[in-house]
Formats: sequence, structure tokens, C-alpha cells
Amino acid sequence: MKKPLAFYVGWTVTFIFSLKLYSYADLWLMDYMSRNYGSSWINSFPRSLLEFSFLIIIGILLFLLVYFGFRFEPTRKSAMLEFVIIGIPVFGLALLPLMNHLAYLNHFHYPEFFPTWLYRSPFTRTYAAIGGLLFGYELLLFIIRMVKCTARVRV
Amino acid sequence: MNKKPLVFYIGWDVIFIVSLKIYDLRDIYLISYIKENYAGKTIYDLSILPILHVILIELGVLIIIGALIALLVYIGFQFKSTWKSALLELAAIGIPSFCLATLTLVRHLVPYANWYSYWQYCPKWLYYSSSTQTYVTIGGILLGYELLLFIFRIVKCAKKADTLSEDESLPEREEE
Repeated sequence: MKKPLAFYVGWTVTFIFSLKLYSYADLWLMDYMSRNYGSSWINSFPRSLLEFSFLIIIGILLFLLVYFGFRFEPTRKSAMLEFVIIGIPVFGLALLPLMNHLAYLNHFHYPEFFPTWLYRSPFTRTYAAIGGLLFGYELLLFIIRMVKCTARVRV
Repeated sequence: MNKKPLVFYIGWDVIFIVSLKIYDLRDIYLISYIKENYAGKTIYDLSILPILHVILIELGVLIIIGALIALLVYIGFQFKSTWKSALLELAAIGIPSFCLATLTLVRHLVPYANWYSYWQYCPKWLYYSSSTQTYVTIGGILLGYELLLFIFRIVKCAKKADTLSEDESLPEREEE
């Protein structure tokens, strides 16, 4: 049970690290381009390219999750473990727009447990889309695994 | 070549595009709902309900697309992995997701690289929508996944072919 635990925790840490890295890289690039090239198409093109590369990296992370996740023995515990360690953080990401709207109506009182770089970032929508997709993936996989384990127990 | 993977991937593509269109429609629904019920009011006058409504629709459709990806993974891994099936998946899922992922990149290139002819084939609801950012995100993630899966499958097939050819050459050596 230690291997899946280490893998899922490692995956979540890498995932959050890549979100943060992208956020910083984009800020740096925006600053560099506006200082050197002003506001022209060339200013926004490298940022789009950076976003494209970042999304490909997230896709690669998804593949690693799929590939190694399917190698572990499918038990109820491992399914629960994956759902809790990966599903809950990505569900938090998916709820970012909701948090923003609630905070807006509440005169910008943001919930304290959310890191500032997440909800004040210009990429809230991108993060929410990534979170929603990954949560949907985890939810269906969790249901499939639970059904499979229950059927096996009955047999 | 087995017809099952072909039918599955095409069916998956159709459901995927329909769910993207549903995602797009929620914007039109929000605008008309606010125009009808909250004309001339500020955001503070809006009740939490319509906002919650729209965000929940948005979240729901994203979760459905994530579930579609899980289905693609789960069923796709059950097909026999050959060069042909790997190419088929890359063509059927990878190419549409590449088009989605490069929506904003192409938008920058259109006036400079004279790509208007390419651009006119792209449906307007994809690039004129406020959801373009979300489409790019979905496309990028799918493309990254498909690319690595393709490389992985090709390497696996090449290894399998190598093992087979070694097995075939063994008896010849014995005869010598």
C-alpha cells in the first residue's frame, strides 16, 4: 500500500508545482515581453506558446497517472486512496470560479484556506477547467473500480 | 483491422464535440437569463442563484468531459495495441484535440501568416466564444495524453516486433 500512496502524493505535489511554475513563468514572460517589445502580437504569442506547452505537460502527467495507476492492484483501498489524494485537490481547483463569485458578493473576502496565487491568478478559468476534467476522470474511474471490486467480492 | 476501435473513437469524437457545444450554450443561456430577469441591475443585485446555476452547469459539463476521458482510457486500453490502432487513436482523437489546443495560437498567426483560408473552416462558436480558453485547455490536455500514449504504444510494438524477429532467427542459427 506504500507504493500507491507515495505515487499519488508525488503526483499531486508535481501537479501543484507545475501549476505554480506556469503561473510564475507566465508573469515573468509577460513582464519581459512588455519591457522589450511593447504591446504587439509578439507580446502575446509566446504566452500562448507557453500555455500550449504547459497543457501538454498536464496531459503527460495525466498519462503517467493512467499508466502507473492501472499497474497497482485494484482494491477498494487503492481506489479510495486515489480518489482522496487526487480527486479532492482537483475538485478544489474546479470550484475556483464559484469561490471567486462568492468572494465578489462578499466584498472580496476570500476563503483563507485557498492559496492567493490560485484565485487571484489570470488563469483561474484554465485551472478550473483542468480541475473539472481531472475530477470527472477520477470520479468515473472510482465508480468503475468500486463496482468491479464489489462484483469480485460477490463471485 | 478490427472495426470496433474505429466505431468507438468516432462515437467518442461525436459525443465530445456535442458536450463542447453544450458547454458553449451555457453562455447564451446566462446572457439571456440575466437580460430577462436582471436588466439594469449591478452584480450586487443579482441573487446567488443564477450564478450558482451557471457555475454548476459549467462544472457539470467539465466533469462529463473528464468522465469521457476516463471512458476513452478504460476502453482504449482494452483494444489490442498495434501500430494501426495507435495511429487510428492519434488521428481520431489527437488531431481534433490539436485543433482545439492551437485555437489561440492560430488566432495570433492568422493576420501575419495569411491563414485566413484555414481559419474560415473553423466553426465560429469555437473561436468567438468566451469559452475558447476552456476549449484550449481541454484540447491541450488531451493532446499531451494522446502524444505520450502514441509514443508508448509505438515503442511497445517495436519491442514486440524485435522479440518476434529474434525468435524467428533462432531456429536458423540452430540449423547452421
